[in-house]
Amino acid sequence: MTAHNIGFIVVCALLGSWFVASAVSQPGWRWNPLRSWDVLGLIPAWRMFTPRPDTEDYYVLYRDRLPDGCITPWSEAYPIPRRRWFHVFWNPDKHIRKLLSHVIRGFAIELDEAASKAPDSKPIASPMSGPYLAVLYAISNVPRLGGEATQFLILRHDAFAGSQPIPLIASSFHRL
Amino acid sequence: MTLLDADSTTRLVERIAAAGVCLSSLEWLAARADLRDSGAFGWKLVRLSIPSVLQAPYQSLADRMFGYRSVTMLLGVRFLAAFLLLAPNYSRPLRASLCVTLAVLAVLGRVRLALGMNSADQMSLLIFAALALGHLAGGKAASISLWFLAGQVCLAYFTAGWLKFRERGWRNGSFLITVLCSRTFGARRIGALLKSRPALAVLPAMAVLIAEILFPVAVIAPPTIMFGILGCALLFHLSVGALMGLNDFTWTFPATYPAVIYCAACLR
Repeated sequence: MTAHNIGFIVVCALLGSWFVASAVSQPGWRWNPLRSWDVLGLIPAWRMFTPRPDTEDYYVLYRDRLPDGCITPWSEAYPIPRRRWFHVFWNPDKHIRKLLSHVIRGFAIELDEAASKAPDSKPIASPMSGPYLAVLYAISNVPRLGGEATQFLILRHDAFAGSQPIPLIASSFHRL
Repeated sequence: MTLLDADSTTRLVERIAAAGVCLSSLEWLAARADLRDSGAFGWKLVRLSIPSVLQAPYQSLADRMFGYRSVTMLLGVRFLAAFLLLAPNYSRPLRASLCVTLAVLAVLGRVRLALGMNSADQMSLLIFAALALGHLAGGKAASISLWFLAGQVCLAYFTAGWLKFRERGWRNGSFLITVLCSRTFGARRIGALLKSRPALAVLPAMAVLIAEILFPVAVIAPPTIMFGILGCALLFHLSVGALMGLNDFTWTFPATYPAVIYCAACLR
């Protein structure tokens, strides 16, 4: 058996197994044992806007407390850019939009879970949770003139329904 | 007889995918402030969301490899490797090493930049990993890589189409309207038009859904139908790039179409 033949068999085995693993691990299958082992994300999940696409807009606002105690007006961090024709070629903002969309949906889920556990109390997001820290890091990185502490506010907006944006969460002040 | 031989098809796939990787690397580098430790993609923060099995034994190595400087350097290397792959007539060992580099960097990217990535990045990983294996094994293995990629793209469209078909919101066009009405992933003028005339959304929504489910037919269909299906799919990705700003799909998914053409020709 030549080296080429051995290589051919190895490639067939590797890619064949990879394809079968991908096919049985797609979203929608109830039995999905391989996904939890796939720590490197080698098995694709071909969701592509399914089952429900992101339909809400999230706005991240922040304000700073200055050293003299004054508080600045709310400013929008990472404003959503207007869709332009050239985004088909160049759109570096899409990563941060995807991240914010992802973490803020994480927030919404966390708050919904907290509300279902304690329906009578106002749900509060943990300042040590991943989504909270991600938003805090993101707004801390926004260029600003000064300020010793910052606070963020997240608004969610359903543009299709045409309603006003509603607050999802307001943080405490955190030192910069 | 095949329309293209395995080696020419492989070159075409790797060049289209490499063009997408060049663009993607430049986009990440243009937004590199977010990769700083204080940024939304800062390593200190991303580290918290990484599976624990990857953390404990490799913590110091990961800290060195995924800090701001290292990750911007890795993105630079990724751009360079993809750019070199665009040039014509390299020897197989050089193309193999470039594909291996891009596959390894794609895996590292899945760990370091996971929250900013999407299905297009998954497809890019599969493309370079499959091509790298094909190059390394030599001989007929290139053909297996192409069959793998054709299989993956068929699986991708079919799964997405089937999952959409199960949702009433996709079937009646309402999800399409709500996405296009949003500012984040929409095009508000078109969204407003469809909102005022919802019936107009049913046809494009159903067209996308049916085309995705039927995409695997391209492999066994006559050339005219196959090119029709591939043309529709390309148009779909261009529309998604222009209307939703998700431009990386425009490169990585069409990069696999030559593999579909190759496999269809092999079956004829």
